[in-house]
Amino acid sequence: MSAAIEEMKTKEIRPQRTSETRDNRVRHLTTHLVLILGAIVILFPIAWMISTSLKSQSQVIQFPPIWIPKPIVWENYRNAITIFPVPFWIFGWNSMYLSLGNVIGSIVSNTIVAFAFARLSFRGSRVLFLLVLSTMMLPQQVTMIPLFILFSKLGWVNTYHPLIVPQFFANAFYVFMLRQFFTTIPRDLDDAARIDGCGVLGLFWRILLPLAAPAVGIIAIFEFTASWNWFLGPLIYLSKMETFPLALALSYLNASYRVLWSELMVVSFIAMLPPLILFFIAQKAYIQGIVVTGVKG
Amino acid sequence: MSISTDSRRLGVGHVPRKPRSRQRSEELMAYLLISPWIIGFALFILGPMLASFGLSFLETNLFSWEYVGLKNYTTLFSTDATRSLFWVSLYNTVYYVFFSIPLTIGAGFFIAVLLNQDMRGRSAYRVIYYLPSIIPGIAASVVWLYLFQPDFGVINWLFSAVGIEGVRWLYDPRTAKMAFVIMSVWGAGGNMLIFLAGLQGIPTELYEAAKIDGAVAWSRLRHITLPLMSPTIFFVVITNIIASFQVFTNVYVMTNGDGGPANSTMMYVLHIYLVAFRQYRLGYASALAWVLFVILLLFTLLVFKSSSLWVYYETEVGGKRE
Amino acid sequence: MNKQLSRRNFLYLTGMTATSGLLAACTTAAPQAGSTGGTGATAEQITIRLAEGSWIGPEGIAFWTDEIIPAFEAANPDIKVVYESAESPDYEDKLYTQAVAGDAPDVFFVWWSAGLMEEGQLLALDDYFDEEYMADFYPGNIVGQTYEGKLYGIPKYVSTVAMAYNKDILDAAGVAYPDATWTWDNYLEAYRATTDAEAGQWGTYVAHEYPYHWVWANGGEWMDTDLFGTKCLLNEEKALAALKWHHDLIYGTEPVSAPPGGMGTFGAHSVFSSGKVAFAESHSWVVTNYMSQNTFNWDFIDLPAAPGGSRAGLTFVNGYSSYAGTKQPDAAVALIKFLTAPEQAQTMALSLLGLQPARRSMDEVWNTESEGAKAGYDVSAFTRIMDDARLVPIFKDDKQILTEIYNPIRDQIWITNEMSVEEGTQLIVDRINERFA
Repeated sequence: MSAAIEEMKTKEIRPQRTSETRDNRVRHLTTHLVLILGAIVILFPIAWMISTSLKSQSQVIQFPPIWIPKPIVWENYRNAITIFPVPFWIFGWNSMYLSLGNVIGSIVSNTIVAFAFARLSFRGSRVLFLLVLSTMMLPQQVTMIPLFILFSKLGWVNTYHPLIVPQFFANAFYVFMLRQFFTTIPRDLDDAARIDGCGVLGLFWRILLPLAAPAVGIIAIFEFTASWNWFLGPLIYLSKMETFPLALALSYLNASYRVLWSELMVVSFIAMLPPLILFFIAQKAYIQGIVVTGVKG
Repeated sequence: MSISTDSRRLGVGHVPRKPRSRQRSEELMAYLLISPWIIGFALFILGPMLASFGLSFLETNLFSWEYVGLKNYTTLFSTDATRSLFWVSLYNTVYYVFFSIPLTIGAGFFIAVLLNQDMRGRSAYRVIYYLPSIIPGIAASVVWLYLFQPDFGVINWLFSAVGIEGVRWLYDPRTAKMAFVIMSVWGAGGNMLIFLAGLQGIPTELYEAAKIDGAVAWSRLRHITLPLMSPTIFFVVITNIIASFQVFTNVYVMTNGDGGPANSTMMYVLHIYLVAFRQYRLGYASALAWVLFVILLLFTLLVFKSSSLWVYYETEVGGKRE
Repeated sequence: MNKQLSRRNFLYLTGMTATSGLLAACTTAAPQAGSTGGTGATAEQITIRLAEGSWIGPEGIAFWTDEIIPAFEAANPDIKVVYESAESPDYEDKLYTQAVAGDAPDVFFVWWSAGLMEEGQLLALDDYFDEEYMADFYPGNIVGQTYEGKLYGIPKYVSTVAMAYNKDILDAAGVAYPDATWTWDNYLEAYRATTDAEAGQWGTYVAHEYPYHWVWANGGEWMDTDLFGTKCLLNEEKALAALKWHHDLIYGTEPVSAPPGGMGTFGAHSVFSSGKVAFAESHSWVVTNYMSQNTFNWDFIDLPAAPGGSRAGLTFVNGYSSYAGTKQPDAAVALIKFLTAPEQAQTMALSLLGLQPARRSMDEVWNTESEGAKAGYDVSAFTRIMDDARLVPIFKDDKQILTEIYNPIRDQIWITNEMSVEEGTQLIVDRINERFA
């Protein structure tokens, strides 16, 4: 019995290997070609971003547009960081605080709630689930003001609480996604685990969560990126420059009477780096490789 | 033993009958587990939602208010374009969604399938394709404004290379929306990630077994990948429809908050935003929002109902079909 | 056994849920905890909030935090001013939201603040600023700050339009530099002489978003009254002729202006800096931008006179207001008085901000000591027009009219040329009159 359980719990999630027949090699090549073309298309705007970041203001306004700046203004990178009255790293720190807080909140709350919907039976689960979904359907523009009034009464304006706390209370999109992932995991694993004496929580913690690791990884990536670039929330709730995340600092470069185009591109480029690094890490941990559950009977 | 097909379709609440005590303790557990969500929902979502629903029956800028019953809703549905931009903005949004959804989901799926193979540079590709989602919105908007520039933009340069001339993109009501559709496909990396994660969950033994049986790539896709991915696809379709119906930031930045030219890019949520925060008509804006809510709810229910035809939930190893 | 497990699990679960909730409620001290009200710190010291933007980017913030605010606090030791960031136009949303929640800053800068003004959200300033004080300001701006006879804002600066011209292009085309006597016809000649469509060079760039003064210069009118008019008069002969003349510059038989969108994507105010237009109507706040961006020789000159010989200029509403719900009205007013005093108007004019003063008495300073003047440009073109400058027409329910009626038709006339000027203007007139009937 145990051996069978062991076998069932071990899931090899390995990417397909291509064999070396001629057909496959051709297909392999075309795949690469397609991917490279796509990559060029994707990277094109980013190349433009970098090009603009190295131009002087007058060169930015030129048209037809210049691709290779003459001269290349490397100082833009230093200027963009030093023109703020607040040390630049503080913006990064604030963004990190905001994003990590939201990631933790999202993972903690959404996994639990999705687990409940996917694996436990309880009255009203169908209705509640549709209710969860329906919260995605009302544009935030009309709930913005009532929400602000609520937070204002709580005295949370000018803090990060309104920006982070809601994430600890689950989010329709992530609940939905995780629930879908949980349902693709065979229930036989559940039953086997139960028979082996695992409680509901153990089921969650030791079996389902590890198997849904790719989904959790996605939540981490999505939430981090979204929070990192979040503009409207911080704008409404924060007023002191020392508390601003990067996204708000960016808005200063888009001022009423002057847009500092090159500096805007520089800061945008720098702002891209932490999510990128996180993506690399999360990718390696969650989406690639073999996932094995080591639960013993 | 009656298991309602509805529950089955949702994949929710579908478990084999258990002893009553266990059932009850499970219920308790479930309620406890979802309690954070209930609290948060009540506080941060339900409350404001109800508030806005109430607002929709008022004419108000939130400093003063007047009860007007259904007037906001009747104004909304008027077909006189100088009284209500509801139909215009709905049309614009449906147009956008109609083109954007198949393209972004298709592109995401396609790339995910390609990247699911073992190949060199796989992680690099993944990063590259997800990159658009990481770029701060304003930078992306500015860059794309440049790309769509009628006379020097790269897009038109490419077009002229194949002989298409004179597309003025954001300066022509006929092509402005399509510009945003194209921009949305550029950002399909998020879908790609979700599909990739879903593809990871398909045991390779199935593919190998199929190969041994002589199935070709296309057939493997049709009979293994698609069915087993259907819960994920289901999720992506629903969330993408809901999200793209609410397209806002790109359009706001790139048309200067105008929805132009000639209101051709006045998307539904942009319209709501302008009505609420520029015209200070919160009552009317709330009515608009709730009409959108109903539309999205209907759409979602439609997809749910249809899901019994094409979504397979794997409740046992071996994937019993419905 | 199941029961036991479930009880244990139950406790475990409760613990987890509670922890989760606690985590949320006690998110570690945010980077900054801020004060949200205008209440005083000590019995003697009052704290008020000032919301202002940087105007020119991050460097502009130091102007407030290092110059203006310390100067004010030195002159008023019992008042402490907290600076709040207010980068428009997104700031409009924030201000509105704050006002609804009853928590707006004590003093803030706004452009047109219709919703707040009409709904009593702004402090009435008549008791604090008498006629003598207000006489120094250009009237056009003040008109927009009054509602039902009461004053709600004090002008900060003025933005008006003058003509900029590219000397290098004119030299190359052998065209004489313009002077104050030039009329529309003179300019048309110059436009034609400097247009070389193939080389991507144009005589001018028609800024169709600001057509108001063309109509006035030619003797026409927009509405029956400048503010909250109810009858549109654009379809009358002189108004129509003015619009048509400028429309022909783009779409006539001999185009001398690129169509909208044809000159880069950085907005109408940057077109001149590209060096590809000979003439461009420019606003007074772009002086410092031009100085840092232009790579050619250029200067300013007065706006052209219409064939009849008359001139007209443009001005916009802007200024400092105070929140009606402020807990420190006296301190707030003191701050406004300080910010709009001649000294500060001078500082703003001479600084990096380069803002044209709203006070008539400060014109000399602008003409001779501002950055532009010191560099030798004829910035007094901006002050010379002020006597003929009128406030941009503002409709009742302005934003709604613009979105539903005016903007779509305007786009069809000027951007896509789907409608002729006559047709489109008639449509605008009909619809506006109908709306206000």
